[in-house]
Amino acid sequence: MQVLQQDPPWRVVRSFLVNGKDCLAHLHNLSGGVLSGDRLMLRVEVGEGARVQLTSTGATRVYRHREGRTAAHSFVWISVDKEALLEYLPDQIIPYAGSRFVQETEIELAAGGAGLFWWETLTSGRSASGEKFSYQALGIRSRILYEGRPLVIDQFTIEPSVRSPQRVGVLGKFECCSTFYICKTGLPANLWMQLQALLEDEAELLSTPDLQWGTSRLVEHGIVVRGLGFQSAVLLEGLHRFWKIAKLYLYEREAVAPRKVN
Amino acid sequence: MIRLLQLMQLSDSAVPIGGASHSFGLEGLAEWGAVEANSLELLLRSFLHEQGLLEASYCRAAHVAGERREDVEGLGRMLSAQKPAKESRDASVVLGRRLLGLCSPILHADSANSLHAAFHRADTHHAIVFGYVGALLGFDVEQTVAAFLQQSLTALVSAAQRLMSVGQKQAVAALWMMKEELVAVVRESGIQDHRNVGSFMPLMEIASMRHPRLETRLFLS
Repeated sequence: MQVLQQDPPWRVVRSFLVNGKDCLAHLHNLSGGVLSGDRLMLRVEVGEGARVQLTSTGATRVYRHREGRTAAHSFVWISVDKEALLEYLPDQIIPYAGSRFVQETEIELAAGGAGLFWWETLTSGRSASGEKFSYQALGIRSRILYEGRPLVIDQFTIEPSVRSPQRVGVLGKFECCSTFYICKTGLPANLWMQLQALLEDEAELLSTPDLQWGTSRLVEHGIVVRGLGFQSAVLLEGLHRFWKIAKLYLYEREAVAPRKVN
Repeated sequence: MIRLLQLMQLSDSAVPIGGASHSFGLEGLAEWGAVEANSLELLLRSFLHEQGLLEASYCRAAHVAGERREDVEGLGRMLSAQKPAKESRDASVVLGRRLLGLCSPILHADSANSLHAAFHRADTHHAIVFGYVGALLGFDVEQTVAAFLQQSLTALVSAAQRLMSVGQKQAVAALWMMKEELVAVVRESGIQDHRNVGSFMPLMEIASMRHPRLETRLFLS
């Protein structure tokens, strides 16, 4: 792993070897959370044949917006070269009461076996402190591209004081939402059909009245898994199950949960 | 007057493109009890401000493309990438393809050629075909987008009538009550660039994703 440049508040804490040759890197926000006016930028290039796990050291805590400051903004650009694999597994986003945050992520996959496991979990806020959807605004702009063509465009802004996210058909009664993208370029469509059938079996198994999972094939080169629940920890357990199945199927390897730094 | 009648015909729920065969996730929501007859209007409102706005912005962008006789391959790709549930994505493409087929004989030859050239390699999403055809037929863009949204809501209400205990009076009233918000969404679609518009309806998307595995189904999607 090469760190070309890093400036506070983000820092790559260290890298570990996983399975003898894969690289695990932790991103740490030294300020403990995202402050209004922050413009966090991350650029990652996963070179040909490299295998990388990228995770955070804890939840992304978005602090209360301060009047007169711009909304906090995070930009992430990632490229994954051929035969490379990126497992981008950040912890959940916790938007505190009164916070304003926009997260933009763009991941470009090369032809010839570029692989991606990427999940995101949005929570309602500090629910243990009685904060539920008390933030001002949360914007998500996620894109996955393959040779310049969009495979995924997921973009929305939630402003709870304008429209409740718990509307019928939106989140309904649920409070947390996870999205998991599983991609590998260059595989035939029938393999994705088989993998999706396996993941859908798991989705049915895991789903209860308080937890709903669904899976679907992307336009090409991948699958999306969506989950809704009440606790991010429960969703995380489900994400690990889907990850395990997909990694075994696509790479014939065990999914190893990222070791955390304390 | 002629144009108004033509627009009414193309946006009628009875236009034979198969709109009555798809529920876009509503059947799953109804099965789970996540929507009931008394919450139908709330669902329509959610749909209008999320998926409705997204589709309206693409319908509008396609209308602009149609006026310029541009191809819409990029628009189709982007809208496909914004529909995570394959069932709903495929349904949208099928409805658009059928509308394309219906419109070819009613257009002048040069317009029909433009239509086919524009969609030669494009995903034929219903919203995009509707907007493009609207431009070729000389329909006003605001009215085209409004008619498209009206047709989409009508299809959802029609599906709800078959899935839940929604009577004719409630169905008519629900659609009637949505008019002001529908017009507001049409206006909003004219303010925002379609490239920046999104949708957040994860529950309805999951319902659509799980739809193929429902034990009994009335709808194809």
